[in-house]
Amino acid sequence: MPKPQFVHVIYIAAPAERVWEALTDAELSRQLWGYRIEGDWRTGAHFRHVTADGKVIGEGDVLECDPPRRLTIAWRWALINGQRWTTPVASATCEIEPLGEVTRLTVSETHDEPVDENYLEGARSDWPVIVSRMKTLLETGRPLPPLTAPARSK
Amino acid sequence: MVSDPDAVFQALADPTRRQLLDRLNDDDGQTLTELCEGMEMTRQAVTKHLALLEAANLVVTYWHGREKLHYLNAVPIHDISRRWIGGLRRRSLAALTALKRHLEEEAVCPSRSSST
Repeated sequence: MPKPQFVHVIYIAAPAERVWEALTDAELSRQLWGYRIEGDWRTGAHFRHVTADGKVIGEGDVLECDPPRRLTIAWRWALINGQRWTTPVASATCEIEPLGEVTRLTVSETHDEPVDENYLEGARSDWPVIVSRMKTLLETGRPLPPLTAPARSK
Repeated sequence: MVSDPDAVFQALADPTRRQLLDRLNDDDGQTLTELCEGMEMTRQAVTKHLALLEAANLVVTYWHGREKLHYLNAVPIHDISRRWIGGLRRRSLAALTALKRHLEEEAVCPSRSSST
């Protein structure tokens, strides 16, 4: 397995279980990502990315599910800006570590096949936005402002 | 090791540390040995700089098999840019950056980017 393309780390003042929930709850994912992530959260299960108007823009599999510590998913985008597009499968591992009063969330994204530079740049800039929104949501409880566009739909 | 703005700015204040971040930005996920190559200082000195960057959460380490890899963590930088650059500013900044890039390309290669 190749090394990750990038790794992002954020510290969130919320319990590990809440961070897990932010990653796996459909409604919370809608607030964070701009689309719902719908699926069963167990190893081998399938999930879909669904927009507000019901379009399935991506899908994937749960490779590893160990709540609330570790979640590994693999996905492929089906639709970007209304156009059919098959991108390489990317996998991401989210590691959730409780550290006293805070929880450390580490997200690493890996691509098995070489990826287009533009896609990679977009992907790399998305994660800090998402994990920062997660931190704001979990630490303040306030509803988030909408993203200007759903993440990765550029 | 929680994100501390002072630690971030202090870490960024040194040219060697910025060079290390540049190198990771170009080629992420490097071992200590790889990072030491081409740096004109001892392995110990590089280790010290990396420790400061890690304490600021600007660099994170990740075990890949038996290798300890260093990655540039964009999260603290994103927080800083987001702090003073909100919605409208970001859009006008993006437009300015695009204009700058266009003008710089035109200066280097006028015929290619000419619209006539």
